[in-house]
Amino acid sequence: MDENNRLRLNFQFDNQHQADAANARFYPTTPSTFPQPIYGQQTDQFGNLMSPNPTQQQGYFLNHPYTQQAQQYNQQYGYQQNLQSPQAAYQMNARPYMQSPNDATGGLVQQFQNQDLSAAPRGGQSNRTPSPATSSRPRPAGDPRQPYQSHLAPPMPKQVQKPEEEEQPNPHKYSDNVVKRGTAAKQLVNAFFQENIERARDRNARAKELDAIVKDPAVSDLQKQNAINTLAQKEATFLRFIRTRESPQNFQTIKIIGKGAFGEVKLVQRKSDGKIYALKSLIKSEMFKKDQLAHVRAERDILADSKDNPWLVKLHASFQDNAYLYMLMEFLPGGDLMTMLIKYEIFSEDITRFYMAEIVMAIEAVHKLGFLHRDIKPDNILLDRGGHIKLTDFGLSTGGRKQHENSYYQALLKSSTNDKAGNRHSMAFNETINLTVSNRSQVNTWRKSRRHMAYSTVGTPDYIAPEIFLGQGYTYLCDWWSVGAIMFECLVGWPPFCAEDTHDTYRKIVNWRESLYFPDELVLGRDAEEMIRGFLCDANDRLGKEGGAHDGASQIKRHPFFRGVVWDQLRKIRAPFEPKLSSNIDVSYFPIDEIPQEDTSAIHRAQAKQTAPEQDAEMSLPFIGYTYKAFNAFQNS
Amino acid sequence: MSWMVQSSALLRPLQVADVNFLSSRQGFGRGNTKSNQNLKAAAANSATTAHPPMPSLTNSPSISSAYSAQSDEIYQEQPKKFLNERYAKCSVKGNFLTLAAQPKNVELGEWLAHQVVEMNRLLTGLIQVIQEVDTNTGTPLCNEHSCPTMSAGRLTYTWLESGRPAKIPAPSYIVRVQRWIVGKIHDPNVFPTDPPPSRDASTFMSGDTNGSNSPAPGTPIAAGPTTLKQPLNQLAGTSDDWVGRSSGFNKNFHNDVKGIIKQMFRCYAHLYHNHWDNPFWHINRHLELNSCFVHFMTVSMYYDLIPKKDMEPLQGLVDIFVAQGVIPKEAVSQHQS
Repeated sequence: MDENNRLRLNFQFDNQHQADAANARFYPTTPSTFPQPIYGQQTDQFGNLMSPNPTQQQGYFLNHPYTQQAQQYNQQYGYQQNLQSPQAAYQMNARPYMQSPNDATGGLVQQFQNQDLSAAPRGGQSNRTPSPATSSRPRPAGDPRQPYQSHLAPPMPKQVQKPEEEEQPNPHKYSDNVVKRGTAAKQLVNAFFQENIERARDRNARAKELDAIVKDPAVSDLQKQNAINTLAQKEATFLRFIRTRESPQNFQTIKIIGKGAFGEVKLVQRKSDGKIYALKSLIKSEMFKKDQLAHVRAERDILADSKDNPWLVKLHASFQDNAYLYMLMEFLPGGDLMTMLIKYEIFSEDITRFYMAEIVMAIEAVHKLGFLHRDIKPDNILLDRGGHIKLTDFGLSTGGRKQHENSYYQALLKSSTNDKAGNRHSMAFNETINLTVSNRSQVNTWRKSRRHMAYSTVGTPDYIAPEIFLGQGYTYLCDWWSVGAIMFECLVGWPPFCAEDTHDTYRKIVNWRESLYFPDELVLGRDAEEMIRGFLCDANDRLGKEGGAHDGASQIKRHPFFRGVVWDQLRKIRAPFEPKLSSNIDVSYFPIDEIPQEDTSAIHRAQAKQTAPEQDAEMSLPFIGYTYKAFNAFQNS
Repeated sequence: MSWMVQSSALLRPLQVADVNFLSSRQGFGRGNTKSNQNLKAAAANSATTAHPPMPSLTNSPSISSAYSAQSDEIYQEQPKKFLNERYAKCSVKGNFLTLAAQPKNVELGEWLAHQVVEMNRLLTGLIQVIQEVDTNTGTPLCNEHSCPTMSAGRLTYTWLESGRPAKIPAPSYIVRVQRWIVGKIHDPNVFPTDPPPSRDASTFMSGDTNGSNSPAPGTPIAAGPTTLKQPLNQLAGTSDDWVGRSSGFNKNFHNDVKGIIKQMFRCYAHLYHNHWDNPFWHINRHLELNSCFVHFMTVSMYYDLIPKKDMEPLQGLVDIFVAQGVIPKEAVSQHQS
């Protein structure tokens, strides 16, 4: 068990090396020996420490695992040596520290590693005498002979008397909160190194771009100097931005443009420079209660990763205080597709084609980043100034790891229809609507109520793929199902499985074979209907399966429905609906009337203050590393 | 108290090694007597020079250091496990210069400000571990009884109280340092945060962003040893130009940074000497402590922000990391003062 664990961690470690090597190739200006947090090793040791049986800790000093660990060091050492060469080649004046293996320092390191190996037999469970080569003896620096001496088993001045009494780490001597603080510190350290390595990479990429300009003979000297000055200015601004503590007090609220169970989205203006943003604030305590931490983390991660992807809403910064997590995002004045659908009820096939094509591009971008969205729905499709779409709300996105809502959905599915009332209450969905597809007025009632639904804890299930409910595992294909459901709604006027209550929607989706029905009075184009059916089907048959997560979109793009779409020009053509805006803070595309505008933050803030002192906000365990700042946050927003 | 007795008994096997280590170190000119003199000299001269003014506190961290009542002999009998190579490893592998060296398009003052703020964030995270109240005892691990003075091995740091160096408990000392540093960092006169002044070509510092003939654009080690050495020492000393001037930092910025680094070092020294095993080693966070310290020392040495004499309490550990190559050679060669 313990053995397997170590092996697995070692493998993991090796993978990390490969990933690093790949990165090193990808960023030629970046020294390949970026400090890398060694998670494997840490977890390993921590696992040992935390094991319920303290005697297992002996294992740490046993021959076998220790040798493995030493091998790991050797691998690592080799790795560093290997990767240093390309960098030295890149740099014109190769620096002395890029040493050859014969170099004094390099040699020393190697000897130190050997030293490690010789320490292996120490403190075993048996009564064997300890190795005389107590590697633990510190040596003075700069003396190259010293390590050799101890490596070649020097005589110890005095015999070590009771090695088996050597103290073992004992985390249980402290209360849990102290240990937790330690874990928090570890996460802080890991986040620090990761974040700063990323910044160094990005900075190098920018320096490289500048260098290309500077070396370009076609660029005038003045332009070159301007480019140099501009980048220097940007770099300095960014470093200052990082240093500045972000807080909601830096922003003036203009309007609340969205409200939900976990928080709200406000249109804000930064006091210092007057720039406009959308500030999403999520109530920490609610997130805790509803187990949403993984979600908010996923959202922050994907948006931070996506940097300047045009299909995703830009995240400028994320920060926190005691009561809230904040995401400072670009403000998209065009509202969302849900509002558009409520307004227009139905789209022509051409307009539908435009939105579907853009959605396909956006989802492809998400998948290429290694995430599933899992919650694609009209509410999450925002329209920018030009009427082009951007995806938002990655709260349910995963990097393919967590499936933790399954149990929740399962419970919902199983719960009997008897407790519908209670269930409805928890959904903040109190109007009973007797919905039949042919009844337009009732569809409109449904349409109005859906905004309430959108703001509730669970949101609407209308666009969620059946395999997610069924808990049998799901893949990126679940996002393509949602595209089919949205397309149906655009062309037909309501989502394919809409029902008077969420339960029935679940059932309809799971029984899609029986419940998917195209109304007789509407005639859809053959290609359109075929494409919808291609999405709304079993995952194994679904459009987009060919090519997998990274190339599934190609198959979809080839579908006859999309004939004539110029995919790489999509964002450049004029959108069918361009928002008409009177100013850069025009919120006419947001249902402001339906959103209570009073500020409720004081209550949450007061509650939070009781539980945790202000300075701890950054350090409370689940939220470490949440704070993030994007390089372009302050530019052209 | 009983734990202390017990643990020193358990630690006996390591003692031998440690005494050896200390005695061999004397051969390297860092003997006790010499450093003793150094420190006295330091106390004498720095009290008048790099004396950090306090924004929010009346007292300032004293630059003076005094020996505690402990004799050297007693000190040597306490093994320092953090000097054990088995533990002198980092949670992070790679070239620490990557994160320390001034990027090509960034002015030095701006970069040092960034480093100080980031390093303070790390140190704060570590200090919070010893400030957390242990619910078993009702006190934090670093308390007035466990650490009645701000000591690091043989050294005890004192705080200037109404002009006099006073031995105050380590937890109080550390809190004062933290408040003092945060006061500096959040003071826009010291660490400006408004968008920087726009720079035209004429205000560019030489060697700053000098375009095509620079060898390695933007690589973290862009500033070579020769170019870096001279601006750092000279800029700080000359009156017409100083570190950070072109970005709008004030004249005293470089000294402020040095003052902050000095106090941060003292916190690290206390963490290692008094809390390395209790709790960091016991909760298996000593590797993280090392990572932070190595990054801190790399920056401090590479930019020559800490006098060698001030490093005495952790010189042994620094030597190990230098020998391992974990603290990069460049940092050592840039370290002058």
